[in-house]
Amino acid sequence: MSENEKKTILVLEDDQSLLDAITHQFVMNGFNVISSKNTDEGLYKLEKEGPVDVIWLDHYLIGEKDGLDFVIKIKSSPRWKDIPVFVVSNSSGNKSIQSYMRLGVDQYYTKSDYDLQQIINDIKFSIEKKKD
Amino acid sequence: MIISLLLLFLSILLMFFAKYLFYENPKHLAYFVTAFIAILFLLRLLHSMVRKMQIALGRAEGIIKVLRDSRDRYALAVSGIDDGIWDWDIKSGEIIFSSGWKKMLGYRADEDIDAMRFWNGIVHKDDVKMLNNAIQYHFDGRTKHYIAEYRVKSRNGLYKWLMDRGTVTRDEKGRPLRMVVSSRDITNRKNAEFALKSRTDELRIANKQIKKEIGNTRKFKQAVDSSTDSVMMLDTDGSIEYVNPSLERATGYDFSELRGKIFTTLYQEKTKAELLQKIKEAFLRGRAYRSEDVVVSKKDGGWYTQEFSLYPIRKDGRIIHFVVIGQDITKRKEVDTAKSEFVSLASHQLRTPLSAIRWYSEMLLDGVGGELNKQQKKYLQEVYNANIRMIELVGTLLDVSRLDLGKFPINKKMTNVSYVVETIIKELQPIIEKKNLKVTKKFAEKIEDMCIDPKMLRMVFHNLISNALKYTPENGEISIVLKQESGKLFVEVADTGCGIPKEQQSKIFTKLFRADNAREIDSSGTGLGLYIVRVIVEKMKGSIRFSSEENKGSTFYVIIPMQDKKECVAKN
Repeated sequence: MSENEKKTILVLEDDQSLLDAITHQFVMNGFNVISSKNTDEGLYKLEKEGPVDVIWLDHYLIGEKDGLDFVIKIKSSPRWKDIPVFVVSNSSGNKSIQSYMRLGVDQYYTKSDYDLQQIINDIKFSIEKKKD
Repeated sequence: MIISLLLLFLSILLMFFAKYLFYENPKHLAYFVTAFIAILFLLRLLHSMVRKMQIALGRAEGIIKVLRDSRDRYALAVSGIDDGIWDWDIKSGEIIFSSGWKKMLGYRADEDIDAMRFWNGIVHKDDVKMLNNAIQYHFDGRTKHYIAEYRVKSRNGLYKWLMDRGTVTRDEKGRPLRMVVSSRDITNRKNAEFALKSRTDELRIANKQIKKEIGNTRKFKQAVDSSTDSVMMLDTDGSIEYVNPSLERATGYDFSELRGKIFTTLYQEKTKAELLQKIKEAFLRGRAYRSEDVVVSKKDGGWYTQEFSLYPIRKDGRIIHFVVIGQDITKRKEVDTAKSEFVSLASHQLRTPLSAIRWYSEMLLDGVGGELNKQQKKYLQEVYNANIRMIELVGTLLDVSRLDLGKFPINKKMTNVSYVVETIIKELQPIIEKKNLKVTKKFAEKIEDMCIDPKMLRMVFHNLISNALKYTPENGEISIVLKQESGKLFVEVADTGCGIPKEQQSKIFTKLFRADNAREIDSSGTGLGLYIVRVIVEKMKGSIRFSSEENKGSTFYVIIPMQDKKECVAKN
């Protein structure tokens, strides 16, 4: 984080305990964290509290819509389509992984296979790269 | 006549000499005259006897002549007879064969055939004994008539069958004197008999065969009828010839309502048009076809999903029927979907708390919650490590579930095989160094990229190599061979580890199996690694085997055929 400006991340995660850990660590890493457990609320917050530099997206979310619906919405909006999206999910459905990649998300992580800091490092790195 | 003249002459002489003979003694004259008259009577008697004898002789001669004439006429007649007749003079052994007999056998009427030739050349040598017996039986009086069937050689060398019939005439002592035999050519009849017999035998066998076939057909029909699968027999034009009771129950239609209908009418309402088209094409091409997505329409308007199998039935290369076997898999599909959804959900539900444990342990270890003392760090590290094992176990269980369900996603890509192996070795470097293991790589110079799912290939190599590392003691050796030959990839992973005990080798690829010695070295293994390797290798149409000796080491051999490149999505 070489710049003075803090980066903002939108975190969409349905599990409270995980959400707490994620939020805490991103804050520790110098981020602003906007979070939501639900796609519609997420979009609303994005609108209201945005812009954001990166999105952390879980697949299973509260409510009927899932992460895929969110990405479709994001990617079809000229304002948000260029925001890097990192899908961090424990779901194993291959179809969804393929769909996410096809929609142009930056990376897909199987949550339990990574330490939190590993993912945060990757996100920081990719934001740095984008700047250059 | 002469005698009479002689008598007259004698009388005249006596008259002259009487004067002198009887002059002295007139008594002698009386004697002489008496003797003379007696002689005259005698002579007369003699004469009449001679005459009678002459007449008798004449008559006898006459009779003989008549007999001879008649015999000659008879012989002539016999020889002239067109029927097969032979006349056997038993005493002399002579046989006369009629021209008809000769003609029957292709001989010329004037050809000389005698008894000798008959017995030694004409009668089939295998039948001579039987013929003699038949004749003897009759002569002995055991049979009323002489009847026999036997083979004779005709002029052209071919044998004919004759049927003889005759009755012997005997002399006054009852001894066989003569026999006239009528012979008939029964070759045709005999041939017909043989043909009939062999035909009868053939028919008997065929009958047995048919009974067996009927039995089999009955058994088959019973099997078909009692099957819980629905079975349809189709004619070559696709019309329904037969349906079993299961099909009637499943669809609600009677056989009588379905007979003659084209089979696709049962599917056309609800089955996807593309699938229906594929089925029709397969049918027209005479090919077997299977699908799990055929939807059958019932009589009451309902429907169900069927596992559909179409098979052509051939006889002598031509298709004569089709069979359609169906299984209602609505339940199975529901269960399948439920299982897949369960696996997906389980994967998510199980992993979420595991993620929480991992990240919070991680944060604590990083001092986020405050500085930890040495012991706290140590214990927390145990928690973290155990959790990692749990995460790996859940991942493996989910992989196994999905492999079993056939729902394991396969994403084929052009993959550099040696690169995959290198990355795995690099990942496992910590344990290699820790145990000071020597890893030798024998990779062939040029290994073509394979159109394969890299994730699955990784799982294979990862399992084999990490096993080798895990079960080899410190300072041991591991070697990895990679080569390509005749369109196949050959992989060998050899170690100098604990090996697999002989009596446990057969179970090594089964689910959850762990050999005793492996358990001692590492109590935490799942027993699923090699099962997964086997299933994946089999999915790639390859094969795996191993050779191992306890306490010496193991070598695993994997062969994977080069896959069809067409299926590869060129991704970068």
